[in-house]
Amino acid sequence: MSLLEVKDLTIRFGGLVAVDDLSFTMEEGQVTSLIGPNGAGKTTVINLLTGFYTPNEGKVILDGEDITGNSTDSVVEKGLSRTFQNIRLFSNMTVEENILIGMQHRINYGAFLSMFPNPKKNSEERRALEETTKILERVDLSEYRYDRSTSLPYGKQRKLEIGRALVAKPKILLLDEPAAGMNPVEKKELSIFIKSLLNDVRGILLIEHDMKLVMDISDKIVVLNHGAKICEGKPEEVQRNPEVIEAYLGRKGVHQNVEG
Amino acid sequence: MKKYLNSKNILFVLIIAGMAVAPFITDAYQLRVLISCELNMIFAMSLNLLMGIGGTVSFGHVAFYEIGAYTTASLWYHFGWDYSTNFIFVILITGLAGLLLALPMSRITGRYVTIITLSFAEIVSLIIKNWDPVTLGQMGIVGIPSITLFGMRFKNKIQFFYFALIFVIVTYILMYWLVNSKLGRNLQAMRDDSIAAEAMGIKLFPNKVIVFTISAIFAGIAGSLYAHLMTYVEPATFNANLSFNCISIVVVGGLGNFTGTLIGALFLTILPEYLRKFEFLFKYRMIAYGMVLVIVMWLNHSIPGLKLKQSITGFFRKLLHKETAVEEV
Repeated sequence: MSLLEVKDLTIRFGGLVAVDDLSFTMEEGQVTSLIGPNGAGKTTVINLLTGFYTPNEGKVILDGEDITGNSTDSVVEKGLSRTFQNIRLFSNMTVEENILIGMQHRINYGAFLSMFPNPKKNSEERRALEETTKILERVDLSEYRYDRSTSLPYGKQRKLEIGRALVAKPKILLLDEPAAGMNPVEKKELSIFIKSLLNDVRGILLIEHDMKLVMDISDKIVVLNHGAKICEGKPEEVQRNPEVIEAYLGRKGVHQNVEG
Repeated sequence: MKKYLNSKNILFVLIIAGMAVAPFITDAYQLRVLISCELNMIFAMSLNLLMGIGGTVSFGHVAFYEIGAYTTASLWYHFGWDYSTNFIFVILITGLAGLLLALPMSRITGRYVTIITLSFAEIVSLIIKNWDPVTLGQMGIVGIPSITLFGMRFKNKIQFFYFALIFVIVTYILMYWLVNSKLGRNLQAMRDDSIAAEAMGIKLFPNKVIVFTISAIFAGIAGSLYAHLMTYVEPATFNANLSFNCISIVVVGGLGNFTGTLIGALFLTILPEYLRKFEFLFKYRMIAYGMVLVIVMWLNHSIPGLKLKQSITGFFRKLLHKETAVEEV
C-alpha cells in the first residue's frame, strides 16, 4: 500500500481547470517531487491535499484513510503538514512560540483550562517545552529560541518553518519551494537537510523550481503542466522525457535535444 | 515562580502597590477619579485582549460596557437583587452578547469588522433606549445603591475603590494566564497570519468566538461597576466616545501589553481631569483622541492586529528620520 494515493484529482475555478485529473502515489521513505512550469498548479495540489480547497472530483488517500475534502485542522491531525512558498511565520511571536503553535493540536487541554493554572495545563506545557527544545536542536536553532521569528536570517526562517511543520509529527511533510531565494551554498545545505528529514517523517512531497536540487534528492518526480500530469518517474527518466523538455523549453528545445 | 518574574509583571505590582496606598493621600474627588481609572483599566484590558491578542479592532466595545451596566441596574430595579447575584447575570448576558457579535466575524475581515462593531454598538444602544419596560428608556435608572455583597453594603468610596482594585488584579492575572497558554498562543498566531494558523490546524472560528466572549464579559464587569459607582445609568452616557477613549488607552499602552494598558488608563483618565482647570485644552481634548484614531485607522486600513504596532512605531521612525525608513522585507 502506498503512503499517499491521489486519484483523479480535479478542481475547477470557474472555467479554469487548475488541477486536471491528477493521479500519483507516494511511497514510504521517499522524497517525491512535484515540478512544472509556473502556473502548472503545483501549489494548488498542496492546497487540495491540506484541505484549503475542496476538490471537485477525485480522492486523496493517506495511509489507507480517505481524507478527501477534510478540513485543514483534521488534515493536520491525520498527518499532513506543510510549509509555504513565501515564508509565513508568526511574525510577532518568538521562535519558541512558533514551534509551540506547530504542535498545538498535540497539546491536550482546552480553552477553559487555558485560563488558569492547573495540573493538566502545567504538565502539558512542560512536555511541549521539552519537545520544543528537541525540535530546535534538530533544526539547529536553539540559540535563537527567544528571538522574534522575523529577526532571523532568511535561511534560518526557512528552517524554522520546516521545524514548525515537523513538530506536528506528520506522516508526510509538504515543502513548497523551500529553496526559493537561497544561494548555492544554502541550497546545498538544504538538500542534505531535506534528505535527513526522512528520519523524522515517512515521506516528503517537495515542490521546487531548482532542478539540480530536485534531481539530487528525489526518488520520484511528478511533472505537471496546465494542471495535468505529463510524466512520472525516476529523475533520469523524467529528464529524458520529450514532453517534459517541451513544457519547460518549448518545441524548439525538443528538436535541439533530439538533434544534439 | 520564576516564570512570572519579568519587567511587565514587576511594573504591574508597583502600579497596584501605588494604587493601594492612594486612598490615604487623596481627597474624595481624587479618589473618584482613581475609581474611574480602575474601571477604565478593566474595560481597556478587555479590549486589549480583543485587539492586541485577538487582532480584531472593535469600535463598538462600549456596547458590552453598557449591557453590563444595564444588566445590574435593571436587575436591581425590578427584583432588588444585590451585586453578588447580579454579577452572575452580568457575566452570562454580556458573554452571550459577545458570542452574538462573534458570529458574523467568521465571514468578514478588515474594515468590515469596524463597520459591524460600530453598528452593533448602535443597535445595542437603540434597544436600550427603546425597551422601556426593562431599561426605562431615555429616563434611565436612578438611585442604584452602592455595591452590596451578600447583604453587606459598601458604605464609602474607599471600600468601593479596593473592591474595584481586586477586579483589576484578577483581570490582569487572568489575562496573563490566558495569553501565556495554548489558547493565547493560538489567538496570537491567528492575529499574525490566519492562513498559516489554519495550516497548523487551528480552528479559527471557535477561537474567535471564545476571545469575543471573554472580552465582552470583562467589559461587562467594568460596566456593572460603573452603574454602582455613578448610582444612575442613562443611554446618553454610553456613546461612541467611550469606545474611542478605550481604543486610545489600548493604543497608548501598547497592543497586547496589559501593563501598558494600566498605565494608559491612568494617563488618559487623570490627564483630562487635570486639564479641566485649563478650559481651552479640555475643550479640545477630543481632537487629540481623534488624531490618535485617525493614525490608527490610516495605518491599519486593511489588516487588524499587531501590524498596527509596527506601523505606529514605523510611522514615528519615519517622521524622525525620513531617509533611514526602509521597508523591511
